[in-house]
Amino acid sequence: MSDVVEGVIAVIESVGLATVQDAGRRGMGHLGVPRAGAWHGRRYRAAVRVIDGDPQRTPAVELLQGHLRMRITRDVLVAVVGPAEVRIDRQRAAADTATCVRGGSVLEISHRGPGPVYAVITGWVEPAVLGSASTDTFSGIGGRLLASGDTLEGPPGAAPALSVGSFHRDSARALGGLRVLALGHAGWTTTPWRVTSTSRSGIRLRGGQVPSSGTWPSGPMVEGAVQCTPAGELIILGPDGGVTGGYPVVGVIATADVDRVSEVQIDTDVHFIPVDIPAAMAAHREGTEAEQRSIVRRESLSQEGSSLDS
Amino acid sequence: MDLTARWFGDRAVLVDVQEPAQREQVAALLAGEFPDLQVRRGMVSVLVEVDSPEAHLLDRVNSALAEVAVSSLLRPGSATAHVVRATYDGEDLEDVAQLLEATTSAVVQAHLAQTWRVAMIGFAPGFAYLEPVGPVTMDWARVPRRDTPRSRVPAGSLALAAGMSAVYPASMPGGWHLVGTTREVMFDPERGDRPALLAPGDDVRFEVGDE
Repeated sequence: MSDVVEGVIAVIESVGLATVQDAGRRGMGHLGVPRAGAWHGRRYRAAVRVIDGDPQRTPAVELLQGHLRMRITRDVLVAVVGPAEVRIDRQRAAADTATCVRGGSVLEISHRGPGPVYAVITGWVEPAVLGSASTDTFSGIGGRLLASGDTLEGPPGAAPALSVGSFHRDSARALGGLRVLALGHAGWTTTPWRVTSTSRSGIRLRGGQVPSSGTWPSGPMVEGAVQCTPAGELIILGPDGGVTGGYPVVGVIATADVDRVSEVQIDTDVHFIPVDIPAAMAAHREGTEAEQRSIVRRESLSQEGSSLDS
Repeated sequence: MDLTARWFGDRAVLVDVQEPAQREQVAALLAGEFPDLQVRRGMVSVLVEVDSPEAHLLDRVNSALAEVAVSSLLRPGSATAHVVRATYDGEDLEDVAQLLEATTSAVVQAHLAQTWRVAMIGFAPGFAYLEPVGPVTMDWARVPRRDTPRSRVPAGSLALAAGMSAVYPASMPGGWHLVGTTREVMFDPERGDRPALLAPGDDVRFEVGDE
């Protein structure tokens, strides 16, 4: 069945909005290079950790919408984390865990939102640009937008050990408000804001109580910065957002909720919850602890589930 | 110097500064004091950023700033000087000349005579905001951004806006007035030691030529 080409792991057959991402390029803002990388860091790291990969540099497919079908050419482990329906040779398969996929199989991942879905595949290697395989959708540096006919490649290697069983167990918390550290008066956080567009550069919102903000000489930006345009629009910067900007910043999303910006959906209302620094620090600690708990190791279970080893 | 930092989210603090010399001094001090942190410049600010929220970040930065206030060391800049060869063939050169109430050749001569200093890098990888330093050869502040940005500005475009000059490192949308072009590669991710040709604090002069 398979006409396996050496090194080819998967052939992309149809694509929604799919890019290659890893943890991104940190510490390069002084060069004008944004982080890029997985928009929903926790989901990306979960997908990587269930196959025991490096949570900085393991390449993943980030699926923001649509549908992805891959012809798998050799035996691999695949982990899919995020709101997706996964099928192997048309049979429903588990998400949130590592699954063995035999060479010759067809793997289908359908995005079911909200927010990004991550797929990692053992043996897949991507070239790094400035230390990362991430796709910066704004500047075009690194990575790639996956299209039909593209291949995922890696050095020829032995089939992975089939002993799998770690899985990701998320709290499945619904998106409530986004916690924000307001700069100056926080009146704009008292009304809901309607999402008018979303992209990895940033999401735009309208319709809330517009903050009064003066001029803002161009200055450094951070992921999660909430800018206010002269037209009264808010922009929450994403991982591909510019590292500087000239719109006034009225707040910055707490790090604990930065991933959740990627879960915000168009034409819905977003509520902001103003927090102070101690509350933001506490939320970050809680989030980190919850992330540690969310990966359940096979060896930590009293009962071994072997259904995945077939 | 009376300098204090303030929180900019839970992973960064911002220091407001008044003038370019002070900005460079503060940035250099903080970069030296905190080699493990990311220090970035704005036009009138310096940002210190960490990867994960850190409760003591503000205190650490303010302690460092208090020391500079006491010692007020003003070290003379050891700026790297660059010469960038350019051709003054930009689509907006005539418009810029009108805004400056000068002939196009006078604008070109003034741009060539001006020393420019990299204030900050941003907008896009390797995009350097160049502000005039030393004797100002023309009233550059009279050139604003274009009313309508272009959806695509070619790589290597030499531009003016908001009292500053810049070279577009890649093809991208842009709202600055285009006065020329250069073949200089402003950003190359494969150029190991220096992906961005220009760094904050560097001086730039333009010369006519196409290499």
